Amino acid sequence: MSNRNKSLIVLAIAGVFGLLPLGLDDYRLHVLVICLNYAILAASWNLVAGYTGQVSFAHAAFAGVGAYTSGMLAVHLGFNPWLGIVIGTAVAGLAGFLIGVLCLRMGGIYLSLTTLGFSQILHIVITNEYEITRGTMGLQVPALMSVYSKTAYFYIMLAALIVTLLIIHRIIYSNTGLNFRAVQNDETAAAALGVNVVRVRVMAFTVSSALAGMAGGLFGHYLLLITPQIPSLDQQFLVLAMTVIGGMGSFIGPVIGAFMLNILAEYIRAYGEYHVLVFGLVALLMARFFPHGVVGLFKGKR
Amino acid sequence: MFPLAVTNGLVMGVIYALAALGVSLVVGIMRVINFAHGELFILAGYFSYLFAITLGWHFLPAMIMAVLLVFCLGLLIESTLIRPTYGHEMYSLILTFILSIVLQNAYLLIFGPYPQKPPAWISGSTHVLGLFYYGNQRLAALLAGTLIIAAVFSVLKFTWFGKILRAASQDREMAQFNGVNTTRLNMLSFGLGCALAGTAGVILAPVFPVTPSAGVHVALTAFVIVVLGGMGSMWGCVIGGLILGLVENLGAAFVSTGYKHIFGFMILILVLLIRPAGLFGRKEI
Amino acid sequence: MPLLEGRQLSKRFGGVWALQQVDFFLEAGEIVGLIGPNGAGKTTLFNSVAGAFKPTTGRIFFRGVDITAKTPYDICRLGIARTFQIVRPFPEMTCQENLQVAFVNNHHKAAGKDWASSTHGILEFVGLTDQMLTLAKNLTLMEKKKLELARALATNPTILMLDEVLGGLNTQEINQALNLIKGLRDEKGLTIFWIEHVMGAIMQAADRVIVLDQGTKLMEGQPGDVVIDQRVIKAYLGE
Repeated sequence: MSNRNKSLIVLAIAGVFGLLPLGLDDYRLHVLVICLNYAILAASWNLVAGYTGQVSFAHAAFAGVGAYTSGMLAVHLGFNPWLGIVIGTAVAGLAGFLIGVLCLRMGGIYLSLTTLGFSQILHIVITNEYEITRGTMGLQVPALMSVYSKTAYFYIMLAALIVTLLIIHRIIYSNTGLNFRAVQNDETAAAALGVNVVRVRVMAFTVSSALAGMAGGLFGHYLLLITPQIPSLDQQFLVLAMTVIGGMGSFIGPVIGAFMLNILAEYIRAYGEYHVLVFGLVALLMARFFPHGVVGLFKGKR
Repeated sequence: MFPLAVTNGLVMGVIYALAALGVSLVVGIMRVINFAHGELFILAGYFSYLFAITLGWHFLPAMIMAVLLVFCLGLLIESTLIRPTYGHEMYSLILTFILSIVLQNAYLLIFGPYPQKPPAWISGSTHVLGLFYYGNQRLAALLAGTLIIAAVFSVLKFTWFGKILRAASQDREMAQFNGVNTTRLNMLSFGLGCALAGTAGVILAPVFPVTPSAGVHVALTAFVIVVLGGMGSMWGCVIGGLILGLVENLGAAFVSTGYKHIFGFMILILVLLIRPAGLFGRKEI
Repeated sequence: MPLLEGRQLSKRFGGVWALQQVDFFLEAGEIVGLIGPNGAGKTTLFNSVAGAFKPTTGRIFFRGVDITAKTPYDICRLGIARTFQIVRPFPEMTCQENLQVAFVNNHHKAAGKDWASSTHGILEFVGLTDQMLTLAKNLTLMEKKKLELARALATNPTILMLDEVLGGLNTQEINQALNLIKGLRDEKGLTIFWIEHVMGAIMQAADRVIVLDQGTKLMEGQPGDVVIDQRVIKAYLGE
């Protein structure tokens, strides 16, 4: 597909999205905002998992870091939520950097276990420190605007997704992205050719966790309630499932997966809380038989 | 308070060690981490409940059958899900993680959210060392766990099969050159790993409630123990398991019950910071 | 001062000493052959120099600077490039992209923008221009070996370490490769450290040959002297 055609398609989709809120009710807008939130999370998780081959279980935790940082700053210190989100993003990025430096030297399993450990520690601390986080009751936080408007939030999340995709696009199509692919193709050969494998992975991980933090912050101030559910393994699973089903390692796959699953979830909910089980089974099948996901199916690959 | 916490720590420690041995076996031979380890642990608990309560069997055959079923399930999982991912560490992580969630939700659907409890083998309590009273079932669990760990060590050290396992975990390629059927070895090892998880599960089930997500903590703790003890070290699993059981229970008793589960993860981070190879692990991974 | 020098290199794996107190050196502009029966420690020596692992004892010096503990990518950037015995192309990337990776990581940002023409030049040198946009996994063995060599060249090396590049090639291909390698020394001024089993090629091209056997240096000298040496013959026959 030529670049010109690609740009036209992107513009068309952007146009559709831009005009969408005009015809939709609050419930549908709500679903779309959720889709956008997960799209940001899935796309940023994919940067690390799909493009550098590291499975992180701390992505939802980083979203939680962003959400709680911003929320607590707003509630306890009266910070403007916008500023809070910026700070939350930075804190999440810093946490990602530290964890990345700690365990990316050591190889895949260690990163997975450390991120797992980190996410559990965070969850436990948040649940226990009732005084500052309100524990399982949830932290009530202010909105991003004086008059709450789902339409406004839709545009904000859309903008955030676009920024996310632009950042990821820049990274992937730069020399860094080239190095990512090299490392994924053959890590040993890449190192022998001068690729600083560890630095490449740490950089991806830091950007990824910062983006998660941003998503968490934005979503928290949308829901107006931040709970320990945000940094939980359940959420992590959903992000993973969306990326796997949509297409790990492809650019648009995670976004497609996020939209597909969240819209589907609404239909499944009519029958009961089975969506996690359904997504799990589908993700299992996809990961086992169609590792390139839905996007891969479209391109005729397996 | 202290002796009670210590005894609890020993009981949990032995259970954790068993679960960790299962993880270590699979990691050592196949370089695969099975995220669904906890779900197999708890499945054995559910099975022993089914056989003992619903079908009315005596607790011993119920437990044995439960472990056997989990073993078979392990063989199935290895051949259908894990085997195709050999060489791609990332995929087995993802697959077993998804499997873990699927199983948890399946258990919720099938068994419901309320805790199930297989029957105790022995009732009453003992006056331990004249200091405190302790449930006999827990003491029996401690004994059973210790015996099984000893059995595992004996099999590894003295049987021909155990020697193959140890050789394969040290140098896979050499084992292959020496005629070991690595495909079948992988399948058996995975099954055994699951069986060990199941054994830990049936021993613990009469004491602690069997709920759909109760296995998560056990699996995570087992992973921490394998890192703490050192990948590939059996003794590391035992010592690590005991350390974790003790730290958790002493921590819960003297520091905070809410933070009970955090100690394991803090130990994990400390190990990775200070000595990633763990207590007994090989320096080069 | 030699360009590359290894002093008392030893490497232990578990209970086995793969290298025992090996000394070696390379002067600039030489082709030095490294031969020995299987298991002699040749690739282990390469791996130690290239930073794939640290030697158990001993030191390695490049231009007088101690590089013993450096990482593979640092060593590559310093100017020591290597190829692998079993070729490791990036399978899902084109030949051009394979070279691009090597190029952009070893040249300054400014020069890096010009990677297309530079890599084209290298592809021409090894004869892969037709396969420029072919995915590496679709190449023949000979083409993959050329790519391996081209990639190493794209890192702008001072020293090139070749690990059994001629394995699996027919006579015609061997001659082609031989001329390429000699050209690298004669025209491009590279220093070449070369592990090889195809004796004829080494004897033709090498200025000097080092012989390893069971981890120790058996002898070193002119190709003509090495090939008739009784100890060397015995080491090979005994395997």
